[in-house]
Amino acid sequence: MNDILVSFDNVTIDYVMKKQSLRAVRDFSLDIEKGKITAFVGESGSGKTTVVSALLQAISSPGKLTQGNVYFFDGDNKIDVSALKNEQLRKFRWSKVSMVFQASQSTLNPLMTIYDQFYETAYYHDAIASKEKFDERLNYLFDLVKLDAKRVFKAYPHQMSGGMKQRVMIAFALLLNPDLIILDEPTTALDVITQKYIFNQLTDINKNLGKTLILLTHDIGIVAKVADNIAVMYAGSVMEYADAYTLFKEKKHPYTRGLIEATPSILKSPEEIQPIEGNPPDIRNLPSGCPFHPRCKYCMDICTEQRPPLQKIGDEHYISCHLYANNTQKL
Amino acid sequence: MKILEIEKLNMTFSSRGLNGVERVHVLRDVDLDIDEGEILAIVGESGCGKTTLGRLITGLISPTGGTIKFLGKDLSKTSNAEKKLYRKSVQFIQQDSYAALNPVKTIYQSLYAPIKANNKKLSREEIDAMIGDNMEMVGLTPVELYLNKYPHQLSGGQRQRVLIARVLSLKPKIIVADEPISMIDVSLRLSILKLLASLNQKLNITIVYITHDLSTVKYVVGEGRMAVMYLGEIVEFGKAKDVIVHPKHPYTQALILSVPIPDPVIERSKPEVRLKSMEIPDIRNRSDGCAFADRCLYADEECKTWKLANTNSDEHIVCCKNLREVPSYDAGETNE
Repeated sequence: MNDILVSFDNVTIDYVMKKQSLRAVRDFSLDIEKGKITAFVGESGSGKTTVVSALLQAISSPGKLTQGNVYFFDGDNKIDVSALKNEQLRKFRWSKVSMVFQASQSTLNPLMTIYDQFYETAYYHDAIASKEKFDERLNYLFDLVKLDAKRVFKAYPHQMSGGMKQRVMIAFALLLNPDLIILDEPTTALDVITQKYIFNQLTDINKNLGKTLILLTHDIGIVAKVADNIAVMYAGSVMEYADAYTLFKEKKHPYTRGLIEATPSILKSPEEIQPIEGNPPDIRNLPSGCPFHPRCKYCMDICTEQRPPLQKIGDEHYISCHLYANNTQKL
Repeated sequence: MKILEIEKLNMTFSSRGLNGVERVHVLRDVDLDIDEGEILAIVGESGCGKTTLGRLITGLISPTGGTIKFLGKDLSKTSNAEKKLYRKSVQFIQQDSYAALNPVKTIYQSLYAPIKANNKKLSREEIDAMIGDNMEMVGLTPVELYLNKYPHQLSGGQRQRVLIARVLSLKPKIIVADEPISMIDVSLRLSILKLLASLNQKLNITIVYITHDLSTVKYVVGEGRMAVMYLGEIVEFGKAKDVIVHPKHPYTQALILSVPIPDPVIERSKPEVRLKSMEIPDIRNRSDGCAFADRCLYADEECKTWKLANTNSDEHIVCCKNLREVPSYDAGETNE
């Protein structure tokens, strides 16, 4: 395996409330390869946003990391993200790992110009050597996302379109030159042509600058376009992990298969498309055993009783399913 | 038979601002005929006027120019009784199913009210039977499980089904569905689309499916037609299969190229989208001629003033002056 940048080690995240607690992420273990685009695919409630927020120690309240660790490899230095405190954490965020949030249109401050917002962030991270250097960096970043720097510098967020704001946020995420950028549904509210354009820029950022990207999405079409590695998530766990070509070709896990077959495509005839029967899981009341078993066509007795472990079934191909229990080695 | 004839439809919205009255010309000379019992898709990006067209068709707003004829009668000249019949016959399904249902009323109450309001003589038992039938039609069974629930207790897919059941209770001739699946999980989307297509087959209801998602069009319209809109105009119109696989207008080509295909091998070998600008221009700065001229690689000076006479016909219509110079594009054969 190539270099690893981030390692999720047995992460469990609970939302602890007075009456009950919800397990949003369960025993999540995954290594993120350096310099690659890794996509977390899952429907709403699958825990993809929750698990990556552990990487910034930004799990929304009342969520808590109740088990496991998240490690970030900074050269030879192994950082335990969950143990970072105050000043260390503040320095770590954005300069090592940055994030483009979902609906990032609304994450910009409506009362400040774009230039001032960039300046403020750089200032508090002690990243301004001189104003000339800073302006140079900004011009470079806006050039990278193909925005007219002169116009955008002075603009307030409401003066820009959704696609432009999204590109401003991508430039923002690159500001402190982090190793990893997390993109949470970066194009959901955007039109298809803008979406394609933004993903072309993101692939360029990945290829030319060597940035590692984590992409969170529910859209399997986008994943087919950009991702190197794919983790399919369901009810807070990884169901299958493989490189994009293998995953789409073999689609071993019944949920992966269902997801790919349920996705409309301009090339597929209506007969080729099959919805996944049943309803998405209620994480307040998860079924016993494998969380997918009530909707699974291949459900066996063992599936209703035991949760399948994540196991290796091929070269960097992991799966959590009892169907593949015997012919494989354990992870 | 034509159920709806739309001719030279124009819509201008005015708003009073700091600089006096500002007018935005949202729809420009839209021509469209809809046959009885057909499924028609209207496709376009945000701001192209597709929802405005849907609201005009359903009579929620009145056009500032042009005519809409329902079963041969001009809507602006109908009597009140005829207008009421039209309102009943043309129903709208909104995008946000949560906002479309009253949160403090049960599903039963939401379904009961429109039937009672339109059929004052019906007894409670008769109405209950109608509600039951409609719920079964949209697949919300067992019916008793849903009737006493409130909207927040249902999933997005179930709420969308409730909206469809409510619409059916008025026995409509046309259903305009505006992005009915954009807020529903992927694994449930397809069943809603199939439901719409089945209503067309079983009850012969004309369906106008408005969407930005090209990949879903085929699953609703089947052999039907689709119109592609750009900045308030229809730029291409024809059988959905032809338009999707062999788009001719430069804009439709760019749009279809941009739709991701869920297969890494095909998706990563597609050609690049080539446009002069990736941003959709402000509709207020649209050129007088072809609306797409500013972004089109094949446009010349004449395009900016060129005017298409008529887009109204049964064949594959493309509104482009330089069509001969646009290379043909093949999205790939479907495996059928």
